[in-house]
Amino acid sequence: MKRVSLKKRFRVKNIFVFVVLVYLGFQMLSLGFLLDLKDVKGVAKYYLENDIKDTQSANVVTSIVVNYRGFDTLGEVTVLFLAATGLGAILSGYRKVKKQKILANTMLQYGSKPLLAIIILFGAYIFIHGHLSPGGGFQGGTVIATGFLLMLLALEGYEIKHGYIKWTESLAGLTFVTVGLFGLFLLGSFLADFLPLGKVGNLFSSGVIPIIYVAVGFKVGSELTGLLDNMMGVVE
Amino acid sequence: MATLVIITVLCVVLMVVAAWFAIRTSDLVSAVIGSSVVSLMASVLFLILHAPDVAMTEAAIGAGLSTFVFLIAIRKTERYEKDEEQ
Amino acid sequence: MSLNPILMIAVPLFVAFSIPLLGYIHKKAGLYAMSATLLFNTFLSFSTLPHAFEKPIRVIIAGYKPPFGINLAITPFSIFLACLISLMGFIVSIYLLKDETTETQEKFSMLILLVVMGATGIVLTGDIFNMFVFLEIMSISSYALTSIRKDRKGSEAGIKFLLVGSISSTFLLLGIAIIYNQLGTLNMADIARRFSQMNPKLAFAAVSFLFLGLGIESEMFPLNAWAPDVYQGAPAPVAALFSAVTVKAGLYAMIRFLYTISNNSSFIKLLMLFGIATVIVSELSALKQTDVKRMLGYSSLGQIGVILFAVGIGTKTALEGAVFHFVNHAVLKATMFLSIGLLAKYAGGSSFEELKGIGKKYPFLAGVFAIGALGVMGFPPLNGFMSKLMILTAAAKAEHVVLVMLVLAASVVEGFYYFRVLQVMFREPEPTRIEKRSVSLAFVIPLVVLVGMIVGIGLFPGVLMPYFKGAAMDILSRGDYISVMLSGGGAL
Repeated sequence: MKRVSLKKRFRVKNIFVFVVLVYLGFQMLSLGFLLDLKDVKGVAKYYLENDIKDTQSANVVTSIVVNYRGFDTLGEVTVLFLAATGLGAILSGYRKVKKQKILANTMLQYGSKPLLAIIILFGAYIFIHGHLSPGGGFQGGTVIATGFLLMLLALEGYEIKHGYIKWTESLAGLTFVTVGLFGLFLLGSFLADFLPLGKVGNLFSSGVIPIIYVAVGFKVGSELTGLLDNMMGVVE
Repeated sequence: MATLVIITVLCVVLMVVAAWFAIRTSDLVSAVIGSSVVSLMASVLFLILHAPDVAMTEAAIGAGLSTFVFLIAIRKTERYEKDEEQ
Repeated sequence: MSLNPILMIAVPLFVAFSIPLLGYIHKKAGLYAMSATLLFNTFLSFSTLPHAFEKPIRVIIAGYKPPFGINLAITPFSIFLACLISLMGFIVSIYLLKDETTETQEKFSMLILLVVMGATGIVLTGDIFNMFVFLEIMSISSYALTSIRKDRKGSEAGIKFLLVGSISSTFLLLGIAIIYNQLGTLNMADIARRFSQMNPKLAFAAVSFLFLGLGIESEMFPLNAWAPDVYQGAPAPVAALFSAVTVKAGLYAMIRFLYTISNNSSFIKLLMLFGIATVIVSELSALKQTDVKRMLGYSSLGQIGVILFAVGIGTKTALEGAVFHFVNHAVLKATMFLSIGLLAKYAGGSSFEELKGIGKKYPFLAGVFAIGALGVMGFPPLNGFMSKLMILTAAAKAEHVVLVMLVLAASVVEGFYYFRVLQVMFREPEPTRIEKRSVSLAFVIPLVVLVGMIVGIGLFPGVLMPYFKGAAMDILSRGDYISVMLSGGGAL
């Protein structure tokens, strides 16, 4: 008896929610049609036209992320740092010894080590060439973290020393802030570009951008690896 | 050009289907896989919209790491959603 | 010559990144670094204050002038709040030097530093997306801080906070995206100048999304259901920071958006109505509580409702009263949360049952709590009286007499539940199960300073008056903001 009446109430609520969602969906869609998605205007136009002149970087997205709006990137790196730290703070004290019930297949165990080297090389390539090809610090760092994830999953008893992760993370973050402070002392505004700009397309061009992106790559990679290691360590 | 349109429509449809599936299923692992399919389709759409940087980031994080983090969380808790009891 | 104000953000960031490394030198190095940095921030903000009141300062970042680069917009209201935030952060950090949670985790100090830095960033920045990024920093550190004790209530509150905060961020991002799509810029002054050029439907959508997102962050009714749980579940000094620092930054963002950027008078009136609703619902809910920390949370919401009400009225005296109440609410609530944290720790809990008669065992702490309660109720000569008086007279002048009556009625309700708590604490027989322990100096100093501020501001409100006037003028003068930020700004 109870089950029948519960189902009937549920259905009415379901229909009401559905109607509200459809109405809201139509409203949002009509809003979407009002948006102007054709011309590039405002700041974006300035960035597209003046990117080469200001930064000599071939990748406009990178120069926007690191140079024009580098302060926001610093904020986002901090957000990532906070997520990893917060997770570490909440999960601390729960570390248990890891016992894997099902060992990985032999092919995986032997193949994953060379694969790790290739993955790290690929990730490093992505963030070193941030100003020349699509990609950058965040993408490269994530790729590196997935490489370490492979090791954690495939090999039994694989452990990453927490000291390495802590030092890499802190030093990379400090590099980013220090570069900004150099800009402040040398040129009068935080995060200003103070190295010579070079020529478009060279590896050593675009001033501070490669340095910052390499630091971001290291930071993101070590942070995500630490995060995954923390979480894996908690599972029985 | 026509192939591009077909691929776009296919991606959008797959995304909506995967999202609906992720909401309705009661097996949380399937739901997480469904949401990773949504991220993957989104990354393909970004590529079609001429934004390779965003596509790379979305693929690596949305379809990769985020799925894994959710799977670890599920392993620590319950795999199947309980029905609402009175 | 004073230092570049960007250091208020860069130095805490530098120190926060290096705290894990400092842990190798000395176990408590992180805590001392946190307090030292907050002291530095306080000094820097106070020394920039007089310059900013003469002429607002524009600090350029990355060498690109706005609107192509990001800039800090240091206006009277901004720097005043930055001073308040840094000072409150510093006072709470002294308290934390001896707190038990921090002794077991150095990560706590990083999170506290970043909460205060995030709030400082929100009030100092002149770019709307930058404000969003700092809001994220502040929110995420708050989520982690809420559940840092890993107890049941804290974790539950943390999850609720996280879910609601994510919704708020989504709506904020949608609103910012709509504005960016229409106007092509993210600089606040530029948006303010061209806001009327937006398609009216899209403008309404953007303003409502931002109102929703910022309303969640500023604990406005009905978006504040998460707040009492968080105030109850988080450790007491963290709750003190939430009511003194994070909610102020959220309120600043709301005020800056509605007054300077979009200048939307209908939404400002809406703010007034929601403010009254917040006051009524929160004060009535506080009556039913049996846990003192949760009751304090509801009382905090009630005071925020009064601030929202005053901001919504929009006249110059109302805004002055609102800024005054910013200060008073921060100081009073910090005092009360810090003292109740200690009392609850010694009594074993914070419900009425456990706190019976604690006033007789720890007269100093309970006395501090009592002073805070009297201040909130608005007793002269403590500070709550002046600000409430200013707000209510401004409301009466603007002919909202019914609403004035409601606020006064809410004050009576406040008195009722606060006196009930004081009676439980002081007039019940002394509990025999609790021994008296000495209260460490690190706990006593912040409480003494805060009580000094409560009494001092109450006796000499004239000292701070010019700052309130300056800040209120700044909120109302939209044209000045636009012209200063886009042209040059004063010298440091």
